[in-house]
Amino acid sequence: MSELIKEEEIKKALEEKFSGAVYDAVITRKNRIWLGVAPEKAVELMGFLKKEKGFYHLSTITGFDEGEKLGAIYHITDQHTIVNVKVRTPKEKPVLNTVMNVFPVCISYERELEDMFGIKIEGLPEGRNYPLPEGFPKGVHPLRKEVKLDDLNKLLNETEVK
Amino acid sequence: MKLKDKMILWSRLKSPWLLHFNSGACNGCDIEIVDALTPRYDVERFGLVLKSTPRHADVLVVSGPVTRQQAKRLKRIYNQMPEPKFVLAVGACACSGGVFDGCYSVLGGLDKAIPVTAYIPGCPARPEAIIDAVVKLITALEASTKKALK
Repeated sequence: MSELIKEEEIKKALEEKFSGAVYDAVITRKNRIWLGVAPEKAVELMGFLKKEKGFYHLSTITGFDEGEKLGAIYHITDQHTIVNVKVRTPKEKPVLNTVMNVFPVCISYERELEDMFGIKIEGLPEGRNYPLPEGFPKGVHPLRKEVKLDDLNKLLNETEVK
Repeated sequence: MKLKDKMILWSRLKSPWLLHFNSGACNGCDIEIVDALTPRYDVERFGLVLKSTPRHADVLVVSGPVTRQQAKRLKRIYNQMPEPKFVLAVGACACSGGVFDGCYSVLGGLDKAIPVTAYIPGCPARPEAIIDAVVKLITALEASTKKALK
């Protein structure tokens, strides 16, 4: 696999530096790296990618719900290669650390994670709901699997969010 | 009727001022509204002018379904407009919620939030349809004014 030198090199560096924390690291194709990381090492890993490897841009954060676990995928790029960092957290007590110190742009993405998935972001400053409207029922996170549209609409009509 | 009131009525008929508000549209209807205003279709020949403040506007032109986020703002803008005020709902979404109907973030059609004078269906509503609605609005106004003047 001669054409994947850069990707192999990044993957190897991450696995060496964060051995034990990084799992399921795969190169799906040219310029695409996927890996999972333990939540306590995530911020450090992204800081490493930014400082040492030149991945200076956080494209977006994707949230996901796997049933037992909630999580987020941080898509980090240097405009050529994209590293997708997957972080998982248990659904009973979903907590992730903010990456604000590494990528200050993350604030709106993380607020969205808080609203839509109910993942508590440690270190995120207080603010109003985003993107849900003010007065949206507390503890309801529309993108979670257990939320059903009909029930949610009924609840919203009852609570009169207008 | 006093001369002053007659003047106001006359000017309202000759030049209703518009305020365009996007309450959560996909931007399709907004482009058509701008299309209707600009020289190709030229609604301005009826004296309609786009205004940037609700306090100067007679007609509120709303595109898109009313999202729960925008509903409060829409009502505030509607309340800021002076009487008498008219509301045009442009596009299928503003008429009934359209494809967004039933979504948890959407309240529904425009009439769920504020009273509506005229509905313009279409996805997006064509400029001809918007012109038609505007002409009908003005003629209806004229008829009611004449009635009031008698």
